[in-house]
Amino acid sequence: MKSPEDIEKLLQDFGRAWPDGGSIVERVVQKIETPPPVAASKPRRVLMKALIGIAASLALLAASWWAIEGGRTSLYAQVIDGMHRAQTLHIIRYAQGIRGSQQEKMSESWFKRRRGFRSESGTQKDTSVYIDNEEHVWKFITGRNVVIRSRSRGSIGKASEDLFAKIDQHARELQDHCRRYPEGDQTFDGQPCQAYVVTKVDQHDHLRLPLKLGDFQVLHYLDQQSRLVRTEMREREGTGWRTTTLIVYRYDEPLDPAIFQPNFGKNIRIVDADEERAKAEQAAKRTMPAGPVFVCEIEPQSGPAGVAASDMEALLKVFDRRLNGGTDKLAVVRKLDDRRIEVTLRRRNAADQARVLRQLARPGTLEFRILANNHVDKALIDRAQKDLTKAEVRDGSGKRMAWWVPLRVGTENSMNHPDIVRRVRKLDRHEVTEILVVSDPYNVTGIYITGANLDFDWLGHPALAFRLNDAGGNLFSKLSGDHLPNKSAGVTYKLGIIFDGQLFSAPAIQSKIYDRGEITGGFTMEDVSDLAATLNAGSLPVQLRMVVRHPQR
Amino acid sequence: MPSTEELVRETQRGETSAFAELVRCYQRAAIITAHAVLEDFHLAQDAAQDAFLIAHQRLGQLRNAASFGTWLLRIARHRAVRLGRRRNAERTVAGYVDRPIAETCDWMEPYKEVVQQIARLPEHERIVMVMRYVDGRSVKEIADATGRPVGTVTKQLSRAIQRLRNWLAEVQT
Repeated sequence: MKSPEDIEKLLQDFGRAWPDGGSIVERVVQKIETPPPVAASKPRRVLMKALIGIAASLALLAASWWAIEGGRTSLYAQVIDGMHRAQTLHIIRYAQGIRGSQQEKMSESWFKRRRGFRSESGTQKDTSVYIDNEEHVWKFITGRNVVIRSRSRGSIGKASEDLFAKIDQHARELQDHCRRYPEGDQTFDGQPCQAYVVTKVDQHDHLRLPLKLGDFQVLHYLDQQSRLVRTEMREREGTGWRTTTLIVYRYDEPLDPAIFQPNFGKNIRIVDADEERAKAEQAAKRTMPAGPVFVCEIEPQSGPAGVAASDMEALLKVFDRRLNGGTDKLAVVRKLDDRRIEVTLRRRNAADQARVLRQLARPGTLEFRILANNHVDKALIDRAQKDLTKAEVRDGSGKRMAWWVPLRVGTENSMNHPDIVRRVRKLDRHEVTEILVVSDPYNVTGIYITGANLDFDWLGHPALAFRLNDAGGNLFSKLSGDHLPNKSAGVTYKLGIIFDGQLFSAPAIQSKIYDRGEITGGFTMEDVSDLAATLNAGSLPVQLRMVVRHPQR
Repeated sequence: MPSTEELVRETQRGETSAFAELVRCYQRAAIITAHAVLEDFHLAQDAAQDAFLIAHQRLGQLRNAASFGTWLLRIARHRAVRLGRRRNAERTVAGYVDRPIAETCDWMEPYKEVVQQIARLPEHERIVMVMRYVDGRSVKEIADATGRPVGTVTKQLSRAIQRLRNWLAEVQT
């Protein structure tokens, strides 16, 4: 009998195996006629009429009770209702500048139902712009000459993710952890607004300040229609308060339709993400004469000789997904006997041969670690640099506190930021550049990944998009939440993405990351396809020693 | 994330994008339901597509917007049965085989058994199972989408897993 875990795993595998072309959303949307569906037709049967009569009486009774009791819907429901009633939504987020005390606009988003969604974030010089005009999605950074275009799946999806989710989060907080704060009431844009103050904050929720409630305050303001119009976070300064973050929500504001049209100027290279994906898939489908055959001889690294039948089956699946799970189909995998697997390349070329060998030998491990920071980890860095022959720093109890991770081959000259701690180590004839990372209690690794696929970053370079499961997302949000920029100290943390023991990239953490992310790092399409296939396939079921016998024909 | 009920209301107000969101949310459950009848992935996709189009046309007749998912799966099943009858008739008349199934649906082979069993689950359990394990959504996301409390979703999931376990064991013996 299968265990519940086996069934869960089987279903998750099924979800991962689901083909990219398996979605019917576009087909359905195309076929839907534009006029909205008609309202419920009047039921003709007598019984139905009687039922409606009874329902109406009950509704009348309920309405009378509501009028007598002065019943009110919850604060959460009122805020959410206000959000859903709005035809347009405009959100502006200001924060205290990282070096000065001036408030700076950090991001701005606009949404108009059935028209589109636009968001802008970053500095004036380098603004990341995302536009969904219901026809296409456009992603670009102002001043750069690359624009990423893909088909729109409806701007409401992005608006739900970016805007509605934020308001929903604050509305829940208003309902569960706020009290009325009359002394904070203010008038904004000529409208008197009621203030609510947060009375309980989850340390890992949206505030990560090392401050106690009382040293900082979170205020939400509701207008007369109970719509959330402003959220303010402030820190105590002397006898008063200093605003550190301010979010302004505007509803039903007239929006210029031009803001949903891309305005990136001339001489721009447009990367069509859908087209690129389709091309890669097309290339993979081309049939070519079969290439050489490898035979992998496998033995467990420890324990009795021979590989268990269940492990062999799992291994075959992992190999197959690694070689054929990306946009490209590389080889046919077949079990020869209890300890040998035959791998037949679909094409006869050296590049494929190298890719197959790399994919077979790859451990397929992924971890996310925080890079040691010169401002914060001074003592650890001193210890690590004292003896450069050692690979790691341990504390008195033997617990690993920090360790050196080699940079991905070919990227040795990257990551020269002064906050990053690096060393160059001689290894036989060549040099290896290593970066110091520190331990954390969360240990976010590739075991939490539920899916990885080819995507494109803001500059149009292939990137690896991934999604984590519930547990992984929770840990990832804690890891990133604990390492948000400390503006007063001028500290920004870097998240090291370590694949197969090599540091691939280290983006700065600007906000909390939940269950989705993107790995960039000067990849080719093939690199990303292989990485995605490896992550989707999972790691090898048992620790194996593998000998690859080279082509027999 | 807007709930099913909200998406249905928005669709009734003419928001095509809201209906697209509903399709995204329930498409796999609908395809699996149809696949149990048709045993052909592409035909199951066609049946699911038809089911969504029918659901869109008749959305005004849906009295409880929150029960959109279960209603849709019933439509998908009926549609699959009709498509299956038509396919069988065509095959009988002309020896017609519409697609080389074995070639295009290799990936379904290892999961055929479990797909059959999922389709036996009551609709409400089928929806949460597919959302949780096949779509990879969190329990919280499912609770938000279906408008059910997190505790209810968790219970439905564990019940469904138990049922699948028993049924799969029966098949193996």
